[in-house]
Amino acid sequence: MEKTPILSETFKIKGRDYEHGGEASSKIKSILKRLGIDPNIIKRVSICAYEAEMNIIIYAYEGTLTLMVYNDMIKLIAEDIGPGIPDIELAMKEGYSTAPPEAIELGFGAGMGLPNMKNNSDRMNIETEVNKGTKVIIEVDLKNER
Amino acid sequence: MKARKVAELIDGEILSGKDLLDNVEVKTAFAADLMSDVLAYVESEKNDVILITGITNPQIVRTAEMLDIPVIIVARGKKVPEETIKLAEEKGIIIIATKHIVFTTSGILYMNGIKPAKLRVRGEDTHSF
Repeated sequence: MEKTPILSETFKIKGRDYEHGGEASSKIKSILKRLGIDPNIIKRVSICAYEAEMNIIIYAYEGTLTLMVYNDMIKLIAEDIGPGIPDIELAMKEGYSTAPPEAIELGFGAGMGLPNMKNNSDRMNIETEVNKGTKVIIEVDLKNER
Repeated sequence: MKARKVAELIDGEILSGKDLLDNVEVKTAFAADLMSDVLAYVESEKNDVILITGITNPQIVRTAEMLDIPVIIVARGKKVPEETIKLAEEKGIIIIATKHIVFTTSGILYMNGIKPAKLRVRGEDTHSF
């Protein structure tokens, strides 16, 4: 059943690498622009990508961010090796955060990331295991332009 | 309002995007130090939003980039690091530094017709697989 993407690209992300935070998302945004995707869709995907990228930097040891473009949707997969999320329901609550002080100094770690990714996507799924890592899959439909 | 006018109103110093001042037109603004909030709340569909902030790291430029925010004002006389200015230059984003605090900056712009940024409708139409 799984369709083949038109385009698939994976970016490596290092934990605590605040300096380069946003580079992968910036590249993802350029790719989508080049493909001529609707600007509002690009914005929603970029927001999700950036939140996911910062989450890996803030919380995980290392991870990858993968962009997959299909005919009818865009898929983002953020996969990391890290502490995992002990309580997803709590993590999905706006304002709940376990971010370290250095993330907060950068303006992140306010507990808005995962809820914001959910708000900007059409479908989101989180698989996580404590002390192993987390995989977040996000889908944005191309026909659904808000 | 042209970005140049914004800079004049707040006695701002242009740190990046000098060549864009007469091209960029802004209408609304959002003030925050939490980039998470900017990402969660700002609807910038017309690309005419000013981000007013008191933090200076490159993440302010990344956040603006993701949302197509064309102008960032760094308030309260904060020193903006070179890497932030360089990234903004690269991304075609104007940074204006001002000695005014966020409150005063916002007040001046509001009195001159800049409106609050449109907020994103916080959808509940997303569901899990």
